[in-house]
Amino acid sequence: MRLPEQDAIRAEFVTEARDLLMRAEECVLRLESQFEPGELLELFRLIHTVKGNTSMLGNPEIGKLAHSLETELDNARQTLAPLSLSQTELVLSGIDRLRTLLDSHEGDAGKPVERVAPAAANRSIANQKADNGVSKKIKVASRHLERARSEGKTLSLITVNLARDPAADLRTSLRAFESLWNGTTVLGAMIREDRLSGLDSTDLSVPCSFLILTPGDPTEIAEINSLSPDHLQVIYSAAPVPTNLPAEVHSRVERIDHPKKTEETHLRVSVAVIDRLINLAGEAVGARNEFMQKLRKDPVLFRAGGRINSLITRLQEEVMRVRLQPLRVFFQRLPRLVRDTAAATQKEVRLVILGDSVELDKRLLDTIADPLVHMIRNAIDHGIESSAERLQKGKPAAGTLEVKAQLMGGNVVIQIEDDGRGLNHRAILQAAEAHGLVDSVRAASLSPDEIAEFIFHSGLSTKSKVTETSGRGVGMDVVRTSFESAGGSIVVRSQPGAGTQFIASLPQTLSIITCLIVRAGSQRFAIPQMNAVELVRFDPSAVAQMSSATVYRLRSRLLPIIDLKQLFTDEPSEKIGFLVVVRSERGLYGLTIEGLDNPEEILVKPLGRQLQEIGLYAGAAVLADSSAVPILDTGGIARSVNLSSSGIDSVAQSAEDAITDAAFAGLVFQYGGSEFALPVESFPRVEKRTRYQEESSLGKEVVHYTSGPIPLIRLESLLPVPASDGAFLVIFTRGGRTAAIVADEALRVGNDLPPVELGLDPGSPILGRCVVDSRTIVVLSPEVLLNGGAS
Amino acid sequence: MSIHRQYLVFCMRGVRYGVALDSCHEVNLRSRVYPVPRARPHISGIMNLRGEVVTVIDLPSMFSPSKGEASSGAVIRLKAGEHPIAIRVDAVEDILTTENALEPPPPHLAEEHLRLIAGVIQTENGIVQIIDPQGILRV
Repeated sequence: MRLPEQDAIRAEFVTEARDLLMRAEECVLRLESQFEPGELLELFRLIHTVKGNTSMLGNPEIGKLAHSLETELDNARQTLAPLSLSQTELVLSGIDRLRTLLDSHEGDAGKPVERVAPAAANRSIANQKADNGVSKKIKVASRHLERARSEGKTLSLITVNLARDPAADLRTSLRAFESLWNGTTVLGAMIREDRLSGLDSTDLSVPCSFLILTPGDPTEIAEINSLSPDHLQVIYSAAPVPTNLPAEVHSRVERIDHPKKTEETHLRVSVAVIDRLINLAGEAVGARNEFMQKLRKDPVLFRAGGRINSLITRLQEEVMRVRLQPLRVFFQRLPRLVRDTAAATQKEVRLVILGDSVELDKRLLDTIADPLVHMIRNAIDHGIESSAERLQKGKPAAGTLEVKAQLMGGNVVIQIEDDGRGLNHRAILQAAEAHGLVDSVRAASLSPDEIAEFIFHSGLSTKSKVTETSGRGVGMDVVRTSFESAGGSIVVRSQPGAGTQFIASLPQTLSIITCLIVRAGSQRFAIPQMNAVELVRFDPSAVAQMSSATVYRLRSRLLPIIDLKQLFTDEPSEKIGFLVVVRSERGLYGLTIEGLDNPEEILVKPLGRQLQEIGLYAGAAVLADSSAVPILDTGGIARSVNLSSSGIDSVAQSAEDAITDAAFAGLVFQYGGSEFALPVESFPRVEKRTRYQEESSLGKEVVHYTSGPIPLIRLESLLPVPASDGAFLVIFTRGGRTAAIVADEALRVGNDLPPVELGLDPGSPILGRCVVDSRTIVVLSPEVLLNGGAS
Repeated sequence: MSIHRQYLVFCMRGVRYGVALDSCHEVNLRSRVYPVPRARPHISGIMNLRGEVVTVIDLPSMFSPSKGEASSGAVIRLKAGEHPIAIRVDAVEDILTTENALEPPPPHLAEEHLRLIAGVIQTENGIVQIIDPQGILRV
């Protein structure tokens, strides 16, 4: 069976092939008026690409024609001679014919083999006409055709590649064919000498054809045997009404000559247009929010505005989807990559691909494609052992490489896992010590996962030799940088002897991101949440001066710090409120800020050249109050102050550590008459409930948030509070997961709430309590809430 | 046959300037400009123009570096450049439709001003210096 998405991919190929053909035609016409060697090369390249594309369609006729056109042009390309008139005619008519075939292919997508040589039924020679004027004949004894006709069966030729020593294989194949498909008769088998000549001696297989008689559609056989339709030629097809054959033939012929003109199903749209659409949609959402806010006072108008409200939400969602592409586009390259790498390293590898329908922003997909290829090569070259070694260890001879994609929250998580020998932690640690990344005292206390982290350091290699497949200058440090530049992260886990697992996570789209809004003096900046590791209340006593650098002691680790206000105004901050721990390619560092606003979901806008040149900004954000603020480039800031990576330490993300600090910062909101707070570390943000659609699915309520569906939490289901149908949502994120809590009203972001008295039960949704003006604020635990109220 | 040209005329520090109307996108009177720290002095900052972030050039400071008080003024969004830019001026006056040809700028102008001026137009009320948007982009 053919899946709908396969059809979608085919349609994409057809669209692209049409485009290429149009450009090829323009090339031919330009060549005709004035010969230009470059133009000829371009023409060859275009037709070559068409050939590559159309091979994916599995239509032998199209493939052959494209191939013969390419051969014709290749000759011209070798001599670099102008095309003769007859050559030009030939190429142009070939292009026309390809177009016609593409049209009919698209119209016929469901049954690609049906129209091959139907007119041959009443002759003993099946005549398959290729379109450059060369006709290819398959000689079939008339008795076979007679038999097919009288029995009402389909006669077809299946060509498969058998391993060398065909004599042995043929017999098994013959039996297999007959036993596998009931009612199938193999009438004969032959080695296709015509195809043999084109093969070189390194090819291990021999093309072999079987003439088979099947009661039904032979396409199914081809599919069961995972053969592309390319391998199947139908010579005679049992017509639904066999007695009425001539009419049937006639109608089919007509269909070939007058293919249905199909509408283009895909359009090529310039990225600039798409970006403008995304901007407009974002702006529409902003204007809508402002509008709905004003309507709140008038219940009648508010209801009337509800329709516009939900339409704009849907519009924005759909527009954001425009840039998304299924990972399949990339994953379909993997079987070939794995096959070639396995062959080069003489290993047996079984590839498992899961989740190829997960969608990702095209720009991000382009950024991570090469790193993923690198990791897959690495896994085969270094991870998976040779078959002999595996058998010795009691593993199956073939290694398994699993590439898995999942959508989690707004993030795409890609896992690459092999069942090979795993990382050599000892060798990595030795190399790390040799490079001075760690001293021997600390080395002894590192966990395996911490040791594995060192593979992401540049210049660290435990490999004794560079092989053909890997070690070509792209290291794991580049892989990590690529994921980080796409706003993501990557970690590695490995068990010696059992395998290695890479887990990469990146946002589905770059366009909308959650940002911290920070203040330095009167100036506001946005820091993307994905670059912020942790937010802690600033403790002046933790600051120390080490040689020339100012560092901050955070849980017995030292972190270089940069005063945000000083960075931009040369004047030090007057009153530092917080320290934002951010990541850069030079490691983690702290940015001191004076104040903090409500985090926001923002649309990233590019900055003009003159502002990009400053090197401190990654773009600009338009906030809900329609002000424009610059987005900080945490990497650029580290570079501008020439932050050195030595002495920078990794900081574990721990909510409790931060919360048990002297004072507490959080978003305080009201629900059912009580006051609740979520720690700022969970990036709580307030949204109007009307902005998003809610839905009940499988007994759980979800909110269709910008990043996808997220759980809707009603506090009355967890705590003894009266139910309330609040108008607001408090959205929060923790460990890559996001959820929404219904709230009556958002009260404030408290930067200096008193210390939290921690609760005793770590599994309770209540983390603790603090008292302000003799009122108790219940501090909620983001972790427990995300786990559905139970830890 | 005469050719009518149209210019948007504005004033900065009492001097009249113009810019070809077909290189203007729109005039904005009430947009707030947000500063961008560490930007060069002739850049006022950025503004949100219906969802687009536009770089705002402080045109008066390009002509005289002494920073006058940031006039509430007007912002003219130009069509030039890949990234949207706008120029902040003191006030927009009028649209000038003229058959008069663009004359070369007076030679006494300073070098850095000459790069910004495409030429001058004679009118009944005196001359108008015409800004070259490409010149602004090159700075």
